[in-house]
Amino acid sequence: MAGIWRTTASAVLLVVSLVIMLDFALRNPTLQNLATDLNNWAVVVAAFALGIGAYSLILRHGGMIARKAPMWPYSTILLVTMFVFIVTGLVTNSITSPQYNWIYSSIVMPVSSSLYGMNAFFIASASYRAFRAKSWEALVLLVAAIFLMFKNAPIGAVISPILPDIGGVIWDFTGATGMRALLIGIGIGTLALGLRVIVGQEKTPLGGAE
Amino acid sequence: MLIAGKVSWTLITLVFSLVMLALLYLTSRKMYVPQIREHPGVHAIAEAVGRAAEMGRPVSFSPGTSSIYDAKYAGDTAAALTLLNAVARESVKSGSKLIVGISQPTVLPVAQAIVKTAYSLEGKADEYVEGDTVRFYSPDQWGFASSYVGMMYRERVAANFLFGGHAAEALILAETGTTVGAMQVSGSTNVYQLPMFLVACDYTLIGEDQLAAAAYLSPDPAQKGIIFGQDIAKLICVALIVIGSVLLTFGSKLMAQFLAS
Repeated sequence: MAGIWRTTASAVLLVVSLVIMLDFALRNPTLQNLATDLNNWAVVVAAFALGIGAYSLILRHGGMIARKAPMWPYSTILLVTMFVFIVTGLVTNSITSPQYNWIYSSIVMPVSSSLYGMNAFFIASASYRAFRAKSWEALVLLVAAIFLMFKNAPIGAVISPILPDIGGVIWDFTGATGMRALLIGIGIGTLALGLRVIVGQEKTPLGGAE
Repeated sequence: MLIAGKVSWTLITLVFSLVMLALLYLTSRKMYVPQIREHPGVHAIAEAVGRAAEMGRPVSFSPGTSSIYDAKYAGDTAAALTLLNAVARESVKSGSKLIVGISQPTVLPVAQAIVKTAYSLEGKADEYVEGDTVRFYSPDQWGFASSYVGMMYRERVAANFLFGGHAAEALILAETGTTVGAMQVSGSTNVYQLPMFLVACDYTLIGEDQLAAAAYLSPDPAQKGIIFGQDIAKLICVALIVIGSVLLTFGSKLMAQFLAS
């Protein structure tokens, strides 16, 4: 049964991939309409998947509340918040209503911004470990980082106008060329992975191993 | 009728695909089996899971915050799911508890199916706990990050795998892994997040390495064929760059015109 399912999934994937790729390269109204429909279906399927996600959350956190697992009050907060969001959306019949926006801008946004802000501290601790010149490679990294900091921080130009220029050369030549080489490799790698999935060499992304 | 500006793209994609498929055919028929060099990052996956088993602590896995049909990082998500299969099989074999943190609802059913299958294939289907082994956290980037970080602290994970499409939360996850003393293997094609993983993780699969990692791990020689095909495609790219540079140096815009066609 699993074999039939995987073969069917592989066949659907092959047809869909060909339609999307041909639509990218060819000017054909039929293909264009088909590709648009397929993209719309993907959005609809994703909406159903959100339901599975919500079910999984309720299952896990509901279970934690029921058996009074450690930190179960947090599970209660999570479920209550989730239902408040859902009910507010349903009652106001909009996700742009002032009530819905208030919850979002007063709770979600500040918390998200705080978490994003924590990155500054994590960058400092990670940089400290990475820039210790324990090897020749780390020394090169450290020197490049110093010049790039001089390029971006105003103090670099104050010390000497040459310092930001050196940082600019490192960024424009070594950084940009390395990044482009990486992007070419990623493009080819993505194509190879797509081919592996389409020809059935790699069945895992279709939902199960061999 | 080919769309103007996409002729060279179509031709190059077609050539690369044919090269890869030809090598796939040759290797699957065992007419040619290339030798692929050992990749330390890929082999560190088994090492990290083994370490977690020895320490009696869990293994955590994140397949990223991108959806399975994300225009830019769908490849990353697919690659992460192929690696989830490898990590799940290793974890079940070694008896380590596996926790998979999911951000995108579209990834959830696929990840559940992969992990369930891995447990079943190892004859330990009863150890898979619905809603606990594969946990859905939040489609919101920071909601996911805080849930995953909390899980790493509470469970004191000994091995942490960060694959798939990660964005600004990458460093927070990786640094937390370092703080709890986890051995970390990561991978990304996001050039802006790769430095974060490189400085914070023990091993990082850079760019295409992540996309090909499952093929490296596979005992099937046909998978090695497609990796060799990738290398040939890269050589063609290098040749195009060199020829283009020489032509441009001598005043010819032939290559630039072809690539823009």
